[in-house]
Amino acid sequence: MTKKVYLVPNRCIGCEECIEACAKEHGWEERNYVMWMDMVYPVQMHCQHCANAPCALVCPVNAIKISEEGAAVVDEAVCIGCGSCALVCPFGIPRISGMTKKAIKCDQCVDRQKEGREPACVENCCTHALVFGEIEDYESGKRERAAKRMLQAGTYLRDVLMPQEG
Amino acid sequence: MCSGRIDPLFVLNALESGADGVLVMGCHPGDCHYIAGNYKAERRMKFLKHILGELGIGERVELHWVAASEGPEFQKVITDFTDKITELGPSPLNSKYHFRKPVKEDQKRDQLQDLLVSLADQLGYEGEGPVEIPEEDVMEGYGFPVIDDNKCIGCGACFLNCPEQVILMEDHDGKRSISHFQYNCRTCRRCEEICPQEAVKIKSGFELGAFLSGEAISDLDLAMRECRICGNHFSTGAQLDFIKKRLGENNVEIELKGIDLSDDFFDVCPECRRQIMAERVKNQSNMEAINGTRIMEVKHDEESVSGTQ
Repeated sequence: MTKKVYLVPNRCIGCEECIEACAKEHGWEERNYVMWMDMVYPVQMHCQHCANAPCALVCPVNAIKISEEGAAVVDEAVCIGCGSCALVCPFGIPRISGMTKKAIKCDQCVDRQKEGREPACVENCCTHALVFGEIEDYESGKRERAAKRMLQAGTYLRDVLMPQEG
Repeated sequence: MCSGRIDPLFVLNALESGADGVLVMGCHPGDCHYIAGNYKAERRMKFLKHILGELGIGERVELHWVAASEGPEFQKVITDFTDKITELGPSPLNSKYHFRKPVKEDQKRDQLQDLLVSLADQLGYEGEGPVEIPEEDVMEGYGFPVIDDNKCIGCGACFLNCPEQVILMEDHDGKRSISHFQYNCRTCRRCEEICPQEAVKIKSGFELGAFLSGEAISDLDLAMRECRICGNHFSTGAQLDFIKKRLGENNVEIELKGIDLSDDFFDVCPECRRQIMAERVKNQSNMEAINGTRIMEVKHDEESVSGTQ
């Protein structure tokens, strides 16, 4: 099981700090999106790094490769900017950069991962709505975290704080 | 001066300034001190003669091979040429122009266009379309892209990768039209290299009409697919078919069906897909239950705004 970025929707407050962090990390062009549903509910969208990634399979020049970390990464030297990956992605994540004219998509910050750091969006998420890790780790820690929070909050806040855990 | 140094611009400049004829002489092929100078000169002069022939003054330019030791030959060539020019009479071009200043390499094409436009105006040239020049006679660096209608999928990779913006792509009225300029193609063949369908080919040649006018030549129009949800024309049908084919080769169709976006995945544009996926995330979380109060706030605001009006 590879590490991935997961979204806990209920924690997100829509500060769009993840977009800022991503843009800063990747030459001022962000690779993730915050969709405002009904104008009030923020949903952060990022690349899911599919196991059998359609973008990698459809690329006519094989510019998208699956890295050791399990991330689908665009090789900008090979990419021709035909936009096939953007058209095939079920999540609509890749797009053609206005500056480099190549496809840009989330690479899950492979450079940072090699240094042992978390991806930029996760590191900068102030409410921990973006979580980096394996899904089993997150799920198994759920009960413990809920108990801890209840203990901190006391009984009267329990009903309010409880559902905020995703 | 080595005949390899003779730029067609010099000849055009001389003609424009009022010369009745231009004679270029060089060492015999194979005798070049610089190995290939006279071969270059031959190619350039042939190219120039084809263009000037189209404009109607092709006879006024000649290229001859005369070595330094061939005195009688030199005399004969010059006498023949002066006789020929005397017969043709004075140049139809008026001589009010002065010789233009030499330009740097990157501005040569601009000057060539200026000179040819000036000559065409004075000679009353009204032709259009390409001048047919045999491939071996075309000067290096002159050509234009030819796009195969049957192969092109309209992905726009050539448009994005062309360093000189020769190929243009425009979306309008549900069509993606691709056109090209003759004016600035340097035949770097980048478009040929990157085309995923091998639809673009660089043809060496010279489209005089397009070069003079500087306008784009339309190549093809491709029908675009409309998004089922937002109604935007987001891609050409041909490119979506290409993607489907690629997916079919890799047996990914089932994987995509598993995501269950709709009956036809490719009827929806990427933005709408993102929207659908975000909607799904929202519905699966209990966001609405927690943040329900915020909706009421927004409604309240709207009411207050309408109330004040």
